[in-house]
Amino acid sequence: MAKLNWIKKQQGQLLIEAMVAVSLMLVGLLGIFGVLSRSLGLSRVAADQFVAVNLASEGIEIAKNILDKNFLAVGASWNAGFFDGEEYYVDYRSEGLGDCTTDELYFTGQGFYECNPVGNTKSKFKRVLEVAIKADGNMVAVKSTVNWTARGGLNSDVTVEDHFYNWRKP
Amino acid sequence: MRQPFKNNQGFTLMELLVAMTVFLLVVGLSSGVFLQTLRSQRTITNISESMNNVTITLEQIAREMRTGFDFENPSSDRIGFRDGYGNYVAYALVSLGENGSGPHAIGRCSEEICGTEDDFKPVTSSNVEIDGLRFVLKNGRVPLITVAAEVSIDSKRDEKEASITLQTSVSSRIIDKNG
Repeated sequence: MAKLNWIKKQQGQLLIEAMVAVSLMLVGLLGIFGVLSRSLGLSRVAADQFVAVNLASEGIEIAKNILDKNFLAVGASWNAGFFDGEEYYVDYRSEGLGDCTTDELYFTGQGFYECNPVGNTKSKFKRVLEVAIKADGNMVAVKSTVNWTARGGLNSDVTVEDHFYNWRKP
Repeated sequence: MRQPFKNNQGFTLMELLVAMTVFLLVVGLSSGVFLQTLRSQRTITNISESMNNVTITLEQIAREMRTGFDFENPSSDRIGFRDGYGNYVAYALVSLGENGSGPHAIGRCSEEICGTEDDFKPVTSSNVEIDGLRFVLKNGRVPLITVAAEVSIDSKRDEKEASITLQTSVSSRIIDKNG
């Protein structure tokens, strides 16, 4: 009789012990899951950054292209169309600064990022070119910033800056 | 006389069952987590490897084009030009398998004539799937070339179709002064 009572007392505790152990384990596993999903999310952020850096450097190249075209154009100043403190939107089809009316970049069916919204799907990237004129008009500083909102609502941006000089004399 | 085993009745069937259930539960859970970890680790490696490959290739293409000239009008996924040394270079999307099968890669050809796909040597890794490569040339006295590469970031296990497009443009530094 005494022996039976002893077993009866212990049974409840055993179950509780097991439950505590299992829940502790669950907490640990949940932690691992959290780290995992965070690392997956971060790798997607890194992928977005790759895209943004390329788009930002594209902005610089477009500005360089316009400057070189200015140099070749007869009678135009080398930095025609570049004004100090202005912000411009461009895409790869732009002939001059400010050919785009929006900073949003749209993804076309052909697979390019451009600023034309018609028939294209909006991408998460936005690009702004900031122009500063320095050194008595002999230097143009172009700052190309791409910003985007990641899936978690986190705002990120990438800025690339380049300086162009009036070294080419006709 | 001590009898150490007298009070020990052994395990009952119930106790054994409960212990086994708990054990199985714990082993099942942790192996599930372990498998999931392996799977996502593979996805993450795949994404970062793909992005690294495509970025470095785009960088190489951009570098070569920056000092390039005589750009051909690109067909959708192929462009040829002369690099800074005057040598002919072409980039195209090539398939790594026979007869257009298998994964696709970005190929580079530095022969004088790049007729067939065999002339192109892949510059991206064979375990990176390039879904598309597109060129746009805005020709003129200052050529502007736009390159867009679409890389697949599918994890092979869950068969999800996903890809990321990287796009950049290059303005050639060699300008046509005399028009």
